[in-house]
Amino acid sequence: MPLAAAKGWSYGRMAGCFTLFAATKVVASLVIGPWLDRVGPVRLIAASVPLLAEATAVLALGRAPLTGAVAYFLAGVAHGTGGSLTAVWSDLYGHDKLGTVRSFTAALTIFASALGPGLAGALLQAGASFEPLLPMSAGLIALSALPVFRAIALIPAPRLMGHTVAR
Amino acid sequence: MTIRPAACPTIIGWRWLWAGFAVACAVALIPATRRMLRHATTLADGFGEEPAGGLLAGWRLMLRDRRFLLLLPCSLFSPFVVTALML
Repeated sequence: MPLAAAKGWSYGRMAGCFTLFAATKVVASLVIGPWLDRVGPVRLIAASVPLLAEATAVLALGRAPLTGAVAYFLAGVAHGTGGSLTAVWSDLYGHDKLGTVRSFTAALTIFASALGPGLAGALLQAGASFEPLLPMSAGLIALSALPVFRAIALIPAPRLMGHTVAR
Repeated sequence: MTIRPAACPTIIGWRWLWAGFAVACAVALIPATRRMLRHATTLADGFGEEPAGGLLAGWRLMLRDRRFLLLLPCSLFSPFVVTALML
């Protein structure tokens, strides 16, 4: 793994980080439910994106053994919270159109998941160093949070609060 | 702080872990899905109609919706970065 090699971490440590990531994601997904109803899904998305940027920034800056655990913990919380995106689509388009919306967004998400390792692998094979990719990614994720704040301004308040408006 | 690898693969080995998942799917998930599907037609009755013009028209409408486009980058960057750099 390029990350383990770049940071000088053992595969055992990385496996522990993945476990922490998975556990945190499960707990965050469960805890987020009541919050989803209270503050609305779009606001939660706006909170989850900076968390992922932070996780990537921690990975970029740190080398200490605890760094990986902190980064994967934050990433787990961000990913668990990011699951509320489905609620955003439901709020925006209504649950009766959820199949249409989900089929499209799921395809895009899978495409992005597949593109990431391919692009990173191509860059690494072309001789790029792994270390600069992390702060660049942190910056890109932070930038991707900006349109969410604009979206908050465009979505009517009742929907922001998680109450679906009758259509 | 030393983080130990996940205990499961160490105890039973990664090959048996996959076999275990396959057995769990056959024993638990397939019957559970069949059970849920029995109620699916009843649930589908309450849903709205397909968007006029079909699925592609629905997707086209989404791509024209500014709110969707504003939320798209954050929904794509997360899986992109996590699978590329962290996993």
